[in-house]
Amino acid sequence: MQRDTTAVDQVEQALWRAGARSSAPAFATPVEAWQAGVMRAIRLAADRGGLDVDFSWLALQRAAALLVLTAALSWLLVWQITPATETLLAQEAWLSHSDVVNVDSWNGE
Amino acid sequence: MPGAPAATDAELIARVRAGEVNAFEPLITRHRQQVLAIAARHVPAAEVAATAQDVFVRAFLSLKSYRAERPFGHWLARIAVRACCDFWRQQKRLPETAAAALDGDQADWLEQVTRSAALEAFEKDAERRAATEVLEWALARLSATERITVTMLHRDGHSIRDIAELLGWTAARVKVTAFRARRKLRGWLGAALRKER
Repeated sequence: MQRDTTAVDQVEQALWRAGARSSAPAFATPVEAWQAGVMRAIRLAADRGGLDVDFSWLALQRAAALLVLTAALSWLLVWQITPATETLLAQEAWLSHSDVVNVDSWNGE
Repeated sequence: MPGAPAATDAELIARVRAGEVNAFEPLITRHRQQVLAIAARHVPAAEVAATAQDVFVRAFLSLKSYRAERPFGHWLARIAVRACCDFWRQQKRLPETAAAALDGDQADWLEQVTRSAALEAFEKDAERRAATEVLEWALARLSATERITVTMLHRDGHSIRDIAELLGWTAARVKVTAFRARRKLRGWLGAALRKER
């Protein structure tokens, strides 16, 4: 086990050293021709719509979406779930205190 | 205009934002070496030109999100590192680039290193090439972000803080990612060594 760990240590050190020593290959394409290609791509992108929308506009859109979602959830909670729960609770309370319904009579007494 | 002082990055950026696309060209001339160097360290030689082009196109398209508090070069370096990550992410999706087994030369090199106490097994060109191939074999199995993190930390000698800055991460995330990546690498190297014995 110890021998394995030492061997892996050795290999790992050698690999990082080899990686660090291997200099990045020289850029084969003539740099001016490459740059001309980059500018062509950029002009094309500019023609298609230009710079991306500003981050603040995106943030505004996200905030608006969040607001709509929150409003929808609030509506659901306040106008749908809460009244339904209250009605159920009221019915239960009414039933438990009502003289109309005599639980004993259900047992045939 | 001969003798006129060169426009600063901030001035050029303002002109591009105002719609003068050609003002982006001096920015490319000024920063291309840095971008090409980052790409050359992280993607295969055949992909350097395309990756560096992608970096400048992305920078142009998102120029509105650039804030002048930090130098343009730093912002560009972050885009470059992310473009390299994206390159490896795309490679991972291609089935034909799945990590292959070590070939004969690479396996021989592994054996040689474990025998050589002086760690001089990559002094000759062929051996150094084999070592680089073994490293590439191991790195190809990592995720894109693990690969970039571990190479910047262990191969290129960047500090945790630098890497965090370039990747837009916290230092803790860099440490955890590098630790996990290194543990995986060591596991694979150990398995390869046991197989060769």
